[in-house]
Amino acid sequence: MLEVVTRENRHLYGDALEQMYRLRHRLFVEHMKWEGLRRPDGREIDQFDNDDAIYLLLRENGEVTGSHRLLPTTGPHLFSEVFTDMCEQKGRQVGPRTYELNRTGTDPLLPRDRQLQGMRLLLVGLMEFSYRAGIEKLTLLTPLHTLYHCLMAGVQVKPLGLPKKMDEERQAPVCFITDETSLSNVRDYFHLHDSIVRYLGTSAGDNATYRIPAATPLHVAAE
Amino acid sequence: MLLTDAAFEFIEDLDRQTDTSSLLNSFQLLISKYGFSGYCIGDPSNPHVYRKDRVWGVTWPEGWLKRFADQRYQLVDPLIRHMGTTSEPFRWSDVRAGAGPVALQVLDEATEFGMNDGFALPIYGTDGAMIGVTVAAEHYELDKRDEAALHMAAIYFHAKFSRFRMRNPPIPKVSKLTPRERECLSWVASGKTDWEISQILNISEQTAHEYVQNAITKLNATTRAQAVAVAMLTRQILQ
Repeated sequence: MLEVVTRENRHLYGDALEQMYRLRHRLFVEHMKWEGLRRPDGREIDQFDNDDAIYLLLRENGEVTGSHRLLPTTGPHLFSEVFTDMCEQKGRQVGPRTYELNRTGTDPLLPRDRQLQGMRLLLVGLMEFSYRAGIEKLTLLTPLHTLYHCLMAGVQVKPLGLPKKMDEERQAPVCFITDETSLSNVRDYFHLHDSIVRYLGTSAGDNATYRIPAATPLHVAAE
Repeated sequence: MLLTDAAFEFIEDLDRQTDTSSLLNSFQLLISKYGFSGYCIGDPSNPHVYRKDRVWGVTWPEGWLKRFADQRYQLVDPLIRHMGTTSEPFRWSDVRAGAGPVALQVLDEATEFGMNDGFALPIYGTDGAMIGVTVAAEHYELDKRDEAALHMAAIYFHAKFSRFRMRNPPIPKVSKLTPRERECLSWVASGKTDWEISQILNISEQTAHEYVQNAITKLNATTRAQAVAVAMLTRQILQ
């Protein structure tokens, strides 16, 4: 299951977010060698880890085994503050229904097959969450092999600029179109048709659906 | 900048490609803008393992394709070998430095067909093996931006092609079975032995065996199970 963490329910996720910061340090610093993110306390955390961020936590038996971070593009995000000259071909995509995806991954200490299964759940869950939340586009910087896998899985991906070599990997700035087509394509590709996203701990109960502030109201949207 | 635009236009137009032939044409048009004459797309992983469907699409000259197949150059081609070891795009001429005499001969013979140089674009496939696209030219000159744009176009091209193949798996070209062979193979598909088939069809066990063996030969199969699979795939028996 993927659990949605927003400003509304993050008070319930203190421990889980701590686990996530440590997982991200293991993944991005110790495993992928992004030395700029190294911190002595072993937590990978930055100025974008604030109340505006939305997290999708992959949890197995209460343990965080993978995560996504989504940032609204109407505020500061990586493409606006750090990778500012990346989207030279199509320009940065910003707007109330466009979010930036970053810090995606699974725990590198897991066995390979569980990491792969985790990545599948993260991708299918991301598409489910985004579509149901009313997000139309996700912008991100993606390694080229991940781009290939997402295309194979049927995600609609628009390139925003040329791939560039960063550290050891070539990464491309792209935009995922998070509509019903992308969702049903990835569900078919991975044979995962059940809902796997949960938004817990709000007044709406355990069957709540998170909607971004700019989303069309549910009774208008064609769900 | 214009070449980069062409790659982005190719990617945007992919949504409008509804079959492999229009997809292949559109990629050929793109690479011709970059100064390349032909391409090859497919799966070069583990070249020593024989597989029929390694090459998905190719526009090399016929003469070169024939010689490559006749001489089994896939076993010694330094481009295929290098492609299996890297996810970095590389220029054909760059593999000459580390190539042995036989490998160099393959590269030299390709020049007889106007393929003096080329650009190889490996892709890290979903099962971990390297797959890819390679393009050839008499001579070419690209800057880093153009190379990056072509690399991205190749990734989109390969993924689109793979998705077409997922929807319509390539149908092997095999001989047609006779009605009797189809009948016997259908019973094989239902788990029947030669003896059981002979009882059902009121023929001798030896005759039933021969029908099944003929079907296996015609379908280029080595086992009964494989013959059943090929017969189903080529729609000669019901699934």
